[in-house]
Amino acid sequence: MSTVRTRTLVTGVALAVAAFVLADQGAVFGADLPKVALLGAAAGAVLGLVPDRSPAARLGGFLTGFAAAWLGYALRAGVLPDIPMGRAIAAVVVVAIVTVVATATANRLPLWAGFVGVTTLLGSYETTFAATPTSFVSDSMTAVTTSLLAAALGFFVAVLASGTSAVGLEPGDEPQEVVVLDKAVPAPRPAADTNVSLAKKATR
Amino acid sequence: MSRRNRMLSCAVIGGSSFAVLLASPVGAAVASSSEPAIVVNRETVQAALNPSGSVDTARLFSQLVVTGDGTYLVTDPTSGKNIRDLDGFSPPTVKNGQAQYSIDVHGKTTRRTVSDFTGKLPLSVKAEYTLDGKRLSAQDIVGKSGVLDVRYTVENVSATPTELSYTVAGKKVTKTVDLVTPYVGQLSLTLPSSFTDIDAVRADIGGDGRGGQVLNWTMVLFEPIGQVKQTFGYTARVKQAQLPAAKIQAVPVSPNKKPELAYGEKGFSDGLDSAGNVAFAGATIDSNMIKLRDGAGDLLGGLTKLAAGAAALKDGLAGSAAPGAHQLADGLGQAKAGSAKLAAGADKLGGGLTQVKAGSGKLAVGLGSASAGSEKLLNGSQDLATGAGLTAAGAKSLSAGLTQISAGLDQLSGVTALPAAKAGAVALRAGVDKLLAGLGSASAPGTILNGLAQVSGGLGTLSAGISAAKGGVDQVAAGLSSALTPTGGVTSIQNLVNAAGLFGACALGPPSPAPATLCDVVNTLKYAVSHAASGADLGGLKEQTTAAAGGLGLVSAGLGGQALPGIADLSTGVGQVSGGLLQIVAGLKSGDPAHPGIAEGLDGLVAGLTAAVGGVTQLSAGAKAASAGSVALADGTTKVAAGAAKLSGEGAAPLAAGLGQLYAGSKALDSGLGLLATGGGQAVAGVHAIDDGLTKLYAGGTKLATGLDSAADGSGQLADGLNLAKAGDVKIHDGVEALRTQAAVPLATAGASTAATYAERYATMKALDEKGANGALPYGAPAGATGSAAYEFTLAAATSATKDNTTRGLAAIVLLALASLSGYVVRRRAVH
Repeated sequence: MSTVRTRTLVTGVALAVAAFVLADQGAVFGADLPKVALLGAAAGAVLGLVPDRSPAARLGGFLTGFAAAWLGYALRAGVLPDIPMGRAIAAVVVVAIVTVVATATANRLPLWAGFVGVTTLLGSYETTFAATPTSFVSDSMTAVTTSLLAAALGFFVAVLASGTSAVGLEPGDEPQEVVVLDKAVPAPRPAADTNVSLAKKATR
Repeated sequence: MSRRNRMLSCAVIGGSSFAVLLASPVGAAVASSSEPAIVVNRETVQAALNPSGSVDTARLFSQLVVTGDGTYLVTDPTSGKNIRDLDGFSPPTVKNGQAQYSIDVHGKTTRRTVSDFTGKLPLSVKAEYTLDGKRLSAQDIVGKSGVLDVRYTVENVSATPTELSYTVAGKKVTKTVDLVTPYVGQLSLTLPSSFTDIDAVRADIGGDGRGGQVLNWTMVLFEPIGQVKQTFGYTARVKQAQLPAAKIQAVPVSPNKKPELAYGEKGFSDGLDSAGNVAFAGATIDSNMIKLRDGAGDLLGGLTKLAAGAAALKDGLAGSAAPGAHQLADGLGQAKAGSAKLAAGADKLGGGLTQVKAGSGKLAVGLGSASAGSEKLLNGSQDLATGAGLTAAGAKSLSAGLTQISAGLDQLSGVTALPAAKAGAVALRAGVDKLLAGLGSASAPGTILNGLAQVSGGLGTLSAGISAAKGGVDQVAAGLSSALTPTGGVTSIQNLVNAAGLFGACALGPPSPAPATLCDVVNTLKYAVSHAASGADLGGLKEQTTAAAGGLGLVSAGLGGQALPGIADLSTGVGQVSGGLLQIVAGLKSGDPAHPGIAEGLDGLVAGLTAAVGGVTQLSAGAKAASAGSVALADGTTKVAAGAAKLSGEGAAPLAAGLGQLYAGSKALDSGLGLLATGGGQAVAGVHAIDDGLTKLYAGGTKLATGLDSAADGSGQLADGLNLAKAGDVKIHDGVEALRTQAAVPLATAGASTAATYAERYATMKALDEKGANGALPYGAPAGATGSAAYEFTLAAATSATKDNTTRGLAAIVLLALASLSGYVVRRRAVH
């Protein structure tokens, strides 16, 4: 078995154990934790498995999206009207926050990690919020802590098992502008666009 | 992405967004005209309660649904505190508690707001927690184990003074009561699987599919169907206790629009009707019992008078009439004996006269022969002297007989003989007239027959009255029995009360002198309607009605089985007495010559005696003449004898002359004796007529005496029977009075009381209908709008959520930190 296959299998088994522990013994941390065990573990696994930026950067993006989603719920519960327009505005605000943070950090806090964070809170809290929006303060804190703990465990297991912990910590791992080199095939044709191009991502 | 592509993308996104915006309601056109709008207002209050039940926060969700075409100004009473528009970004202006809306609508639109609830909540909730018998706060129980008891108290505190008006037995009653808004609600919670040995009385229990148990309590928070204040809860064994939240939902209702509540309202209405019928029946029975009692009193008075009359009749018949009749019979017997002797004397007189007449005939014939043979006197003067001597002796005997007859006729015509008999007959006739006048006729007032006719009529009226009374008693008994049938009034009340008990889920219990709850009322009504009799307690309405029906049956049996036959016997006895008296009257005076009575016989007797007196007078005169003739005859014959002697001695010529005179004298004597015989025959016939009349008179007098004895006995029996009837009537009077006071009056009183109770409850239900009809909105609906309200209370859970959140948060931070730092650790190892 190749190293890649072995690592993938080990990572999967470790995540499965983590999900099992969360679902089976998660009640130690509250009755709601088992309900979001798989969601949180999966989101954390995604966060830990994607070899893009360092774990801390990925975590930062994740927490940014997580906080933005919570803010979106807060707006819906306390400020915005309970109509599609209100929900649309909340959605825009959440996406905007994640985007602004990613943009401001030059994607050091990656955009995708933010959306994983948004998705994690939505998955654990949307149903509860729809049922009892007036209990936002108490219910949202439970959803935040349970999903965050599940995601943290998945993230922790994935990072350690997949070996992506060191990704992004090398000097060349900092985010760079993508350089696209257009190359004419079979021969360059000056001042003219071509239908066939070869994109090359320069790496060092 | 090239700059051009980015700009194109932005343009596409912006255009799409603008199109979506235009398609949304925000872009709707504004109409200028309007028609009357249909506005419906829904107000919902959500209250967050602490675990103890105290209010934490309360919010009002107001929803206006406007249907119409145009622009409308709607003023909605609401709370303006922290108001927020749930359908847009511009909350309405609230002035003096009135939210001002200008709503443009083409079809239907909605306006929703949420604000802080500033009014008084109509329900108060209180929760008490006990762990192992120790009272603790909810938060102190969290994490502990033991036997947990939780009691929830929900009270409807929306009462306001309300005036009730209703009519009981035709009388209008108005009173002011504190009447709540009619709320029905439900308290529900889910106990987790860590709660075991759950005991929740009154709760509907189900599973939640995850091992937990869902408990629901349904509440009707108004009287008389439900209770304004209700306490309930559960007991469970808990481990590491986490108290779940409880949710209470309550809505105001109009009871007549909810079938299960309308059934109760209809039950009160039906109960009012039934109880009214019972009260009316009781009052009717009571009034009829009073009539029956008064009738029995009147009957007693009539019987008393009747008994007194019968006693007087008995005294009159036995003390006066019967002895007088016996004296009359005795006198008639004596008269009969005298008349018999008189007849015998008359017969002897007749025989004597016949013999005298025959002797005188023979004398005349002999004298004729003597006269004819005077010629032969010479030849037989010796014989003549002898014959004259014999004739003188016969003449002397004749004279002596005639003297006796004359004396007898004088005695017969004397004052003490026939005239005395005539006077006695006349006196008898007068006595018969007085007797007839005393007996009288049925139509002559003041007579015995009239009195008996009145007695007979009174008995007929009495019989009809008792028959009518019996019919009334039977009707009352039938009415009471009908009330006891499965469909009768009493059974219907019992079923109704039982149904009310089932509806209220009431356990069987003792009656309450001052019922405070529906179950108390139901149990009290159950007791009032039916319970066993004991000692002075006559039992419930059903038992008393049964006893009343039985008592009426006995009264009816007494009236039909004893009183009516007794009165019939009395009537028969009076009829027999009347018949006997009529026979007596007919015997005294028949008016029929073919069948004469005592009066006619006495009239004939008087006439016969009158004729007899005349005949005897004539007879006496004839007898005297005959006596004188006979004396002369004796003298003549003496002289004849002397002459014959002289003849015999002096010559036959003077003899012949003497015989001629003798012959003439004998003829005169024979003629006088013929008259005497005729008068004597008439006298004998008259005496026999007297004797026959006295015989009949004696028989009639005897019958009269016997009849009056029977009448006296019958009147005595009549008096005795009437005394028995008086005693029976007193029992009827007392029984009717007891039946009235012990059955009819309590029945009427209980019916009236029940009717009043049901009337007040029904009026309360109607007032509740009115209170619930407008939806009982906490702030009210816009003018002309309809609406409804709902309340939702959430009793907060008592859990370790805060602690758990902290623990989870710290654990997550630790894991995330470790994962983040793991990369640096790996990197450092790689570097070294």
